[in-house]
Amino acid sequence: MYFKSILYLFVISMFLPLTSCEDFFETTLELDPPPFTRTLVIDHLTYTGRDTLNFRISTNAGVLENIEIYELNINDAAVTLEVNGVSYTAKVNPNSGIYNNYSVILSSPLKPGDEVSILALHPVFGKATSSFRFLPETEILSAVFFEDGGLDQNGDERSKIAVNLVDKPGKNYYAVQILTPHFNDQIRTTDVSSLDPSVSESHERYTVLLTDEGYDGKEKTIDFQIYRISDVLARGKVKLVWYSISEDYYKFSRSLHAHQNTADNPFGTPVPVTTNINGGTGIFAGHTRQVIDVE
Amino acid sequence: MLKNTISPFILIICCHCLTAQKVTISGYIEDESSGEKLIGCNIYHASTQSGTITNTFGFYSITLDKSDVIVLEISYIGYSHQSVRIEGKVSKSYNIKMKNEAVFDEIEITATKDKKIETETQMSIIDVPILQIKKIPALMGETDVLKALQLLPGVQSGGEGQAGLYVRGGSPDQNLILLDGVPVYNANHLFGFFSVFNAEAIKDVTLIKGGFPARYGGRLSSVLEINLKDGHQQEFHGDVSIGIVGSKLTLEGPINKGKTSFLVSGRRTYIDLLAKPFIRQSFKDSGSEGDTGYYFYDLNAKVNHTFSQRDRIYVSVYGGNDKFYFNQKDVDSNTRDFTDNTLGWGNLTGALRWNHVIHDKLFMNTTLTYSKYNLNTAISLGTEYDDKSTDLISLGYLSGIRDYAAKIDFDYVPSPKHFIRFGTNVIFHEFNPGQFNLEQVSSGNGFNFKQTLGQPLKNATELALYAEDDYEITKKLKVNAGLHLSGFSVDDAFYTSLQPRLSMRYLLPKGIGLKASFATMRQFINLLSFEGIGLPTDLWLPTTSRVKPQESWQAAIGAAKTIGSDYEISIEAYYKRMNNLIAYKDGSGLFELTDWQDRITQGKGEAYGLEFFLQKKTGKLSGWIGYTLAWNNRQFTDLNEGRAFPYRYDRRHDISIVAMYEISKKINISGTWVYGTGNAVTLPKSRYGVVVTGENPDYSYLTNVEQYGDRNSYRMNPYHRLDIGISFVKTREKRTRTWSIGAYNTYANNNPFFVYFDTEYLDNGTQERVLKQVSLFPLIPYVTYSFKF
Repeated sequence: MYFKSILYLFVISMFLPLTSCEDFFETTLELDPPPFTRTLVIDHLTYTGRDTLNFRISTNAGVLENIEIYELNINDAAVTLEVNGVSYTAKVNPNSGIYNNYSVILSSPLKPGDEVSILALHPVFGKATSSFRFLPETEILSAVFFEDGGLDQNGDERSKIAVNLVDKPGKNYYAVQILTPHFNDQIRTTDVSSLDPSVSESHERYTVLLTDEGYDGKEKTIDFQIYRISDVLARGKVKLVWYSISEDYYKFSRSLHAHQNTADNPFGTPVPVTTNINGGTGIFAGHTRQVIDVE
Repeated sequence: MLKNTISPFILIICCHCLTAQKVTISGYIEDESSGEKLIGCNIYHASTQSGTITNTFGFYSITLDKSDVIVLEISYIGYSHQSVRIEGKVSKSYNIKMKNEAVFDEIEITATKDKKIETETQMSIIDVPILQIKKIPALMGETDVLKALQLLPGVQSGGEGQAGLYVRGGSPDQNLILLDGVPVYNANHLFGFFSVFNAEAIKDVTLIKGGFPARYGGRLSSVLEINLKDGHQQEFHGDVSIGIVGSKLTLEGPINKGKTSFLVSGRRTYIDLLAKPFIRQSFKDSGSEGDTGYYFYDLNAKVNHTFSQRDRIYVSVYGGNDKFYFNQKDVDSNTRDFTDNTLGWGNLTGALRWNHVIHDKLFMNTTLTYSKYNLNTAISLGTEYDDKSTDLISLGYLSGIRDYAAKIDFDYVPSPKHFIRFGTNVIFHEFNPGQFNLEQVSSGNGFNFKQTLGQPLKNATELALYAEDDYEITKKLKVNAGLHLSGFSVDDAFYTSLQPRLSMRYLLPKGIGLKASFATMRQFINLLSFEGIGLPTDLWLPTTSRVKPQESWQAAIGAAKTIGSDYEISIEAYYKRMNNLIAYKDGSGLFELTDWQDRITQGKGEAYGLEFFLQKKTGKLSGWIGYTLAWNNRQFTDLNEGRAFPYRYDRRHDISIVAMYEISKKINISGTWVYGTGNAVTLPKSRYGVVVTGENPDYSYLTNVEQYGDRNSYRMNPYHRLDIGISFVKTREKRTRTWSIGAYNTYANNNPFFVYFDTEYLDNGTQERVLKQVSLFPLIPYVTYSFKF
């Protein structure tokens, strides 16, 4: 009797899953996307020493819209740039391709302390504004090359550039690139890293970011590691490119880097990319650039 | 320190001993047939309108004026009301045996008429009889204590099928889950679809949501106290249950009649065993050999022994594990690739408890406990060559927590107006915040590389000292006031906290009990887990010198009333403030080598709401209606640009209707309907392009950026479902067999499990992106068979 009961139970349990639906363990429904507002996107990064400013004006698209991002450029926006109170009307650059579709030629190169602002107007996507000020140059006391730069985070042997600087009081942010000799004697940016806790990765491949956390207003030496290169090859050819950057740009770069890293990671938390554009999104920034020959 | 604290209490006790005009009746109250001690049983002295209740071990003590005869009214849910006449000239020990009405009536639950909700001091407390829990239709027929609790106001589930409890805006780590007094760190099987508590072994379940008595501490949001059965003192009994998912076996009985008894209860799923032949054939068909599957098991065991009327000991052990496995090996080629992967997690707890009646008014319980939770993941990839040499790379990940604890609790009942509790405890925590073990072996050339990366083990010590009194100031006004002092030592940091607790009730006319409570809590251990996925990625971590302890305060006010003899109604409003909550920083992930302290951020939260509860415990129709209106927000400097945002489980409306109806002595039906506002999640709203320098610095490219709105600003669809069940019971002599059939989500509503973006390829060669909702369990019928002997 009990055996029969157990047998019935077993047979029923085998058939029960079939009584439900075809996609037994997963059913999917298509949902409406979250609502959003179409706004202007400003994408601009420049440096001191430049007198031509190129930037990209585009718009955003819905997450479900079947449109490529390079199709989002906007060429009918009215864009005005102001440098130290002098206005410039940006012109559409017909040969820009998918990148910087607007440009402005300034009367003189940009320099530390210059204040730059942008106003973009579009009949459909509204108004977007932003501004920044070029920061003062950083006091770099020395930048010295060492063939033996120790091991990096992966245990690989590296060369290093030891940079000695004096940080100004207050919150400061920096970006660093290293130029090294490459194939055919080209001097180009290279991968750079550091074990210093104040250094972090940027969304740009050959750039690292720094905060002055832990040495605010003090003198500090930071080691930047690059691929192993001999003294002979390096002599006179390694350069340090030091950028004094805004907090807005630092946050933008850090968040974009994290955003890219977690895009397809189920164990990662979603990362919103920060912006300094009022009424729109994107980044509008300028770095104070210093190029230093490494000893 | 301990000595200094206890001495005043001893002095008070001695003074009371000298008051010779009183007599004290004390003893244990137990089930007449099984000898099972009854928790929370009412003892009422009608002529003085005073009373008391039994403690967690079934002990009571009541001190009254001397009298020739003292008549005590004893009542307990599911048991026949008893009047006990005791000679009242001298203090004496008197054990009381209660007759279980279920012996005569297998189905109906009869509640006590004396224990009225409006008279209790404690608010925000829920006692759900285990018999009622067993009748609620369950997913795949697996009776689940935690899921039953999710049907109560103020308690929410995380999502479809999940067993985690979200109590008044808290997270699952803020629940102190005690199994026979031992903390259980992960209460889930199968990613939360089932809880680790086997209902067959449970005697009693109590959930406290607020107004915490001072004896509890260490968590912010709730205390869930689960007590295992002691085991039948007189006869051997068993219970076999066979279901779709797994089977259970419970055995209990005397080792030494009336003195020593045992209980053993185990269950295991067997889908892996049933599917094994098909899976192996499937591997064979693809030219390899292998196996894959999942199972969980748990085992509860308990032995208790009565040395004398004054001394008893209890030893209880719980062990449970979940395991996923996948292994595969090529068989036909010259070089055979193989892989072996496992994901396992589990708890092991143990408790040794010694009850000692020091004096007829003073009861002592001493407990030694051990609790361990481990998450273990291992992935191995390799190649086997013809010459039997192998290349192997394996990566293991291990995290967990281990506790050793000792505590001593005293219950002192000097008079019916006072029920004083005091005690102390110490816990030694050992945290493993996540370690990776990497191994690379090449037996052909003798290469062998091993490395352990990750966070070092961390130890911490937690101390607590408490005292509370349940004091009846007047017949109308009763308060429970107490203090909980806790300390936590980790590395060079030492945190202390003094937490005042107060609950009170005031009896208004027409039998309405007005209640209010205030409690501050502090939590020294933290759980880092991902809200988005149901994987067991729980990581228990201590408060450190950098990570501050979580804190909360909660105030609640409410009213309760018994209507007629069958209905209880209560309404409560609460406000809870939480500080130093932890969350992953944006972009941080679980499987990272960086210091976990760098990956988290601390912030605050607030939760407030209104709870309504109407319950019918007696009669052919029983059940309840619960409704919660709630708001639940978080605010972190590093998240959402510092703006407050809704917690993922911010649920504005939460409704549950539970009904059980006895058609006849042999047939009863039950149904559950639940509705909850959809979970809040973060989804991108739009996207745009940003120019980025490429691999070749001379060229740039556009990268796609998804633009998120405010955190958790998207609402998933509301959740609702109807479960129904019917049981056929047949009793013959001492055997009872029960067939239970039913269905989970009867009208097959597509309830949201998670949402994601997908790309669909169209017939015209183009593709489009769609937002999809994944639902589990459209309709899950179940059938279970159980046999009691």
